[in-house]
Amino acid sequence: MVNPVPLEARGVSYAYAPGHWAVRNVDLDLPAGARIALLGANGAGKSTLLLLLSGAEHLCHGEIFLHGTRAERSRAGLRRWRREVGLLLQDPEDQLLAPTVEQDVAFGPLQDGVEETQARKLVGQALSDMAIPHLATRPVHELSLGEKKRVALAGLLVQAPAVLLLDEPTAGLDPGGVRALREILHTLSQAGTAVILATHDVDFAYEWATEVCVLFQGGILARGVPAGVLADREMLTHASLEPPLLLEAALAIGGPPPLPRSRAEFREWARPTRRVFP
Amino acid sequence: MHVHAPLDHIAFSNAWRTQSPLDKLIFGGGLLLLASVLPALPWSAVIFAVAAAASLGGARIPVRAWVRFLAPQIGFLSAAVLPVILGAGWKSAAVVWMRGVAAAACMTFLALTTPAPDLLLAAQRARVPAVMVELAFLVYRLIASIWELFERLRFGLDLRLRGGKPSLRAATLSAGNLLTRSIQTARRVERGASLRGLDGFPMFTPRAETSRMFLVSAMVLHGSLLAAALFFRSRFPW
Repeated sequence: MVNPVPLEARGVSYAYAPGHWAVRNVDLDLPAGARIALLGANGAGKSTLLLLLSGAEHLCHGEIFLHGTRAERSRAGLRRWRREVGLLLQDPEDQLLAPTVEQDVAFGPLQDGVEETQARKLVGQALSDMAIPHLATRPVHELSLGEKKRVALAGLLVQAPAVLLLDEPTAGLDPGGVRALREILHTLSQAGTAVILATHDVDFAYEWATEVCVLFQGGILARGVPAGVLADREMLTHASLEPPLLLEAALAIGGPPPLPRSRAEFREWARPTRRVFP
Repeated sequence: MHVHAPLDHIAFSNAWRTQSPLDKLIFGGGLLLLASVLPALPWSAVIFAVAAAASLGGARIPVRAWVRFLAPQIGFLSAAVLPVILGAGWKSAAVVWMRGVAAAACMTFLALTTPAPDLLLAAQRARVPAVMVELAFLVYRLIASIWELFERLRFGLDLRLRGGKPSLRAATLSAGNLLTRSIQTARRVERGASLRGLDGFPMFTPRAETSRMFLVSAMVLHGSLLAAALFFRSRFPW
């Protein structure tokens, strides 16, 4: 039977130089369908933690388990790790390797030995899911940042990873791009993909995540449901973060729980009180 | 700010972009061969005109871009024939120059109508060793990234100079910055490749099949030029 927790981290630590811990003693479970946001200031260890979870960096201490089995750094082990766990880097330019969009998205399936006709179908589906089929024959280096992010994400999704790690996915995206990304991530988690993202964007994290982890100097400072963790102003200030605007407004107005998580929910929630929208 | 190489942009956007690279290689290569064997006068001029018509009329490459790519080659050729004038005389120099210009027009046609990745895929199909093709693909991506970086740095320098010319010190600093950041870019691409488990570079085989119509037309054109050269041999001796 397949372990329902596709990725577990136990006591994970990493130092870039002796004594300079970027990540220290982190435990994390990513069950199927999880939506976890890693929050923290610059240098808090978010990106390093994602690199460790993806197998891109060697652990100094701790262990990572894939579906209950210890992740190995052998050639076959890394191949499995990369098939199970996809990482979207902050700058998508770094992970786009092929000259055209279609060829880049096909990279994973063809690498895994998928037959070309089937690979073309998978690529077509992934491009459609990302709403970019019109970019198929375009050269990668002529795309905008938002388009490159979508192509990089399509290149990960085409392999249907059990876990998706995203490093600052909203950085550089316009509001429409952020909205589209949120919808894509919702669909993925509903389909059972565990998604964890590192971000400074507390508003996005509050609206999207089912669990938030606040990182500070490489360790987990607080974790839990967004409405609980992100209401702790003192802790957030200590971690150089601010509470989400919607949550702060809802708390300031006061009203019945559950607190609204999105603008639409906020409108509905505030309407009966007629305090905000007459 | 243009963040992509102009040659690459035209090669990806011209009207013959989807034509098979083999078709274009046979058409351009055939003309190139004729330019080197037929009498320079008048056939080099005819070949130049055919290559120009194919580039501008067929592939619809903008005239300014075509001139911009051809002009430096003609300038280089013109400088190169000067020693020939001194050594072998005007007539030989003119022949070398005319053949050279016709050949440059053929090569410009190929370069502006065929993106580098298409040529590499054609090389892959022609069984060029996989490691060479894969390396060339990665180098191509890296060059595209570094070009983008170069354009950004140049744009940033222009903004800070407010249109003035950069001093030697500013230019040197920018070149140093470009070098450092190019190395960083290479390292990041290396990490990205490792993340995606780069272990060979399998690619889709090109969809563009050779067009029989195109190939027959190209060969009829080549044959006609050769036949005309033979027919007028008494007037324009070989």
